[in-house]
Amino acid sequence: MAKDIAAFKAAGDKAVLESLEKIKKDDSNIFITVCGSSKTAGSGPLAGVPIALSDNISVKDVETTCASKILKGYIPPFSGKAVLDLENAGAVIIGKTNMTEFGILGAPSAYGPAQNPHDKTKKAGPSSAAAAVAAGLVPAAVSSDAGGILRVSASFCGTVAFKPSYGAISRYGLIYYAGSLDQIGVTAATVSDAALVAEILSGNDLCDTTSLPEKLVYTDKIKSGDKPLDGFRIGIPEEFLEGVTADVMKTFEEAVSTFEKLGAVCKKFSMKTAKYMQPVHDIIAAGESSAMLAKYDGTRFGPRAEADNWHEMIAKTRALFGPVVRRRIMLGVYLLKTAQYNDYYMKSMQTRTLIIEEFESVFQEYDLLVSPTTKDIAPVIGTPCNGGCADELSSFSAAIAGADLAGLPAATVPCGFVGKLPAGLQIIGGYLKDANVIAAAEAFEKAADFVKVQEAV
Amino acid sequence: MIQKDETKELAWAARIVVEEQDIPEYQGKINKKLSYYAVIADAPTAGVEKTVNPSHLKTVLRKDVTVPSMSVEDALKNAPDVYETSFKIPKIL
Repeated sequence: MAKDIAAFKAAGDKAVLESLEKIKKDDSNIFITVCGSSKTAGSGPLAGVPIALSDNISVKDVETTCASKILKGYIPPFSGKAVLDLENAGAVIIGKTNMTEFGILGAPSAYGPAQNPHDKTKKAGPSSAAAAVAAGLVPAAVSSDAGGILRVSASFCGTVAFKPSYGAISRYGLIYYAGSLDQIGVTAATVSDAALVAEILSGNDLCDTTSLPEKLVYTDKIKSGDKPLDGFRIGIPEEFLEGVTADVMKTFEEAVSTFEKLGAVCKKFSMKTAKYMQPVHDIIAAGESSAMLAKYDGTRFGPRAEADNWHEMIAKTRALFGPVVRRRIMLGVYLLKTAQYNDYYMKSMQTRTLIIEEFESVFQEYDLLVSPTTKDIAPVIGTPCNGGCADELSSFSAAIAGADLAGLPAATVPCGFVGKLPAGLQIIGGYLKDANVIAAAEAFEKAADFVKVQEAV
Repeated sequence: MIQKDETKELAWAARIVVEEQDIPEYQGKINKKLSYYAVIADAPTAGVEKTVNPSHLKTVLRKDVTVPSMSVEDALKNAPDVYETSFKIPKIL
């Protein structure tokens, strides 16, 4: 099962070869492309450590498909900033992991579903980056996280995941579908590993105009002792608990008790904008995806359908999108049309402001918010998840959508098991208060001792 | 709510091929979404500024200096068809 960075480092020169061997033997459909070589290992904090990337992060000269037929054969002529940062830290990019098409929730991968390492009949989640870690194939993986695809996958697979404040990690080279929601995050076996990799990726990048000017530090608030969260005020929005199954709720309640033992004061409260979060996320994601996926038309890259004229060529080529993506694009085009723009898209952008303002107000009173990361454990492959997949929503829940819309730092840490399958706890911090999220996640991880719990299951 | 004819027009505007028999499914799913969105109508947004993205950055500019960029050869590497230094496409009209 999952192994941390130190365990991979301990294997020395063999770490990459062992990782490649395990990936070769694995039949869970976690990887779309394998590309690593021990010859490319550099020096630095991740020297010789194999790291996986979701298949929507561009790696020079390595096929990058976003798990879509429309990008079959696309070979990026450049590497994304995250890739360059990882390579500069000595890491070896071992391969590209499976994902929902373009990272869109509920859009099946053109390569078929990946299996959950804890139970192969269950889904690995919309980003197989977490499954790659949970299966012990790599110690950490980097993935996009719009709609919670990384956090939810980590919850399904029992790994840690962290997405920082919006703008902390450059998205240059990330093939995103919703620019104001998509971010790069990290999944790993432990909180400290996720924080280490995220810190390596953090920093200003002139190639991404949403990149923050300063590098964020994630580890400066971690405290030890019996009460490392003494004085932390933790809020629990009641609306973030709606629809959560009894089994997952039990793991969440135990997690809240753990936080209280660590010195935090936990309190439930209500967020009046919570009811808007998923619809607003969905409208913005649809509108942005219709614009951002417009470039996949067979003109400059990817496969091209034969046709007598350019317009027909585009339409026929775009039949390579899966049906969920095609519907998302059509919906987005509809929402952006002049006749309904003000009622839906403009209204959503304004409501997003109200949501952000309420979060700002909430974080005057609380240091952190917590919720179950998912409403249920990993579903059976072939069935929709409890959280909007059947309705083709762009986010799993208000708890996930809210953090996306406000660009807040959020982590998920394993907090228990329901049968053989893990459940996750989401910790959300105020904008740029990433270090609080990491400190709480690390303290919780140590107290909950998930590894011991996992061994007992 | 969107009508059948509008759904067909929408598909063409989005350059998405939808077979005639699939139009009702697309129409139904879009209408289901529009019903779902009704909840935002009561959001008190009068006079509220829009949020385009959640970063607090304003007018991001880089220095006005020449920097290296992708070569034409690299930019054309993935093109399905090329004419000299351009992307070649079928006739537009």
